[in-house]
Amino acid sequence: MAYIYPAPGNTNAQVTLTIHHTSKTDDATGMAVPALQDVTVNAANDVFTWTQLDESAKKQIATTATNSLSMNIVLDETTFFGTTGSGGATAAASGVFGLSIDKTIVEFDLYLGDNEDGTEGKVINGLGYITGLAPTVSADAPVWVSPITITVDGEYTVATRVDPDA
Amino acid sequence: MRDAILSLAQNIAVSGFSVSSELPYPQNDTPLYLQNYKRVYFDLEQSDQDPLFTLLDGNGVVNETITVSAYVTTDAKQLPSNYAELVQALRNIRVSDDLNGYNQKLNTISTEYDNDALVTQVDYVFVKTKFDH
Repeated sequence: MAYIYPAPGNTNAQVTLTIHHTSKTDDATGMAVPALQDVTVNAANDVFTWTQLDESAKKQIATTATNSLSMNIVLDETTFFGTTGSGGATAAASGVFGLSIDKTIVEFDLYLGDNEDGTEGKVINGLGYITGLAPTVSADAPVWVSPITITVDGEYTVATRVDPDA
Repeated sequence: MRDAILSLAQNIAVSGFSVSSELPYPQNDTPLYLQNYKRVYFDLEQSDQDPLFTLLDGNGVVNETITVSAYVTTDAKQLPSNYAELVQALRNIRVSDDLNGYNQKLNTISTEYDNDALVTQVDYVFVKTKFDH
C-alpha cells in the first residue's frame, strides 16, 4: 500500500505542474505553474448504452474519454503574463495568459507528489490547450485568483518520476 | 501602525485633551490613562493571521489583522463638553489617507466606568492581505 500524500513545501514531494510550449522538444525547460490551490484530473469516459431483448438490464460499453486538468491558481505576474507575453517561443515567455490567447498546444507534466521522500512518484503527461481562464478579485479577497483548465488533446500517459537528486 | 496612528492623533486639536506617546503601562498597579485624565494613550499593536488561501507549494495567502487600542479617561460626573468631538476625531483617524493598503479599516468605541472615571477605549482594526512565504 502506498498512499500518495504530497508534502506542501517539500520541493521533491509536493504537487507540481510544468508546461512546455508545443512540446518538450521545442521548449525543454518549460515553466512550473506556481501557487496551485487545487488540481483535478478529469478522465471521464463516455458510455454507449443499448438494450437487448434478451437482457433485463441495459448494456453499456465505455468509449472515448474526455480528458482535462482543472485547477485554481493564485496569479503570479511573471508566470501568468510571461516575460514577453503573447507570441513568445517558450512557455515562460508567453506565460499562461499568452498561451491561452495564442491557442498554443502545451505539453504538461503533472507530478502527483511522492509518498515517501521525493525519490519517486507518478507523473501524468499529455498535450492540451489552456482554456477556462477567469481571473477574479474581490474586496474580501484582494488577491487575483483564476481557474485554469488544460483541455487534453488525446490520452494521458503515466510515468514514474526519476529521482532528481539521484 | 501604532506610530502612524499616534502621529495622526497628535494632530488632533480638541481643547483640553492631549495625546501621549507613552504606552499605557500600569504605574503602581494603575494604568497611566487612569492617572492622567483627558490624555489619550495608544497601546502597542497586536496582530493576528487567518488563512485566506492555502497552496500546494507550502505557501499561502493570509489576512493579517492589526489592532491598535487607544484609551482616554474623563470625569464621569461631568463629561467634558467636547467629549463627543474628541471621540469623533479619534474615529476619523481610521479613514485617513495616510493609512493606505488595507482591505478593511474598522474601529470600535467602547466605554466602561472605574468609580467616577469614564474610560473610553477606541480599537482600530486594520486588515491586510499578504503572501505568507
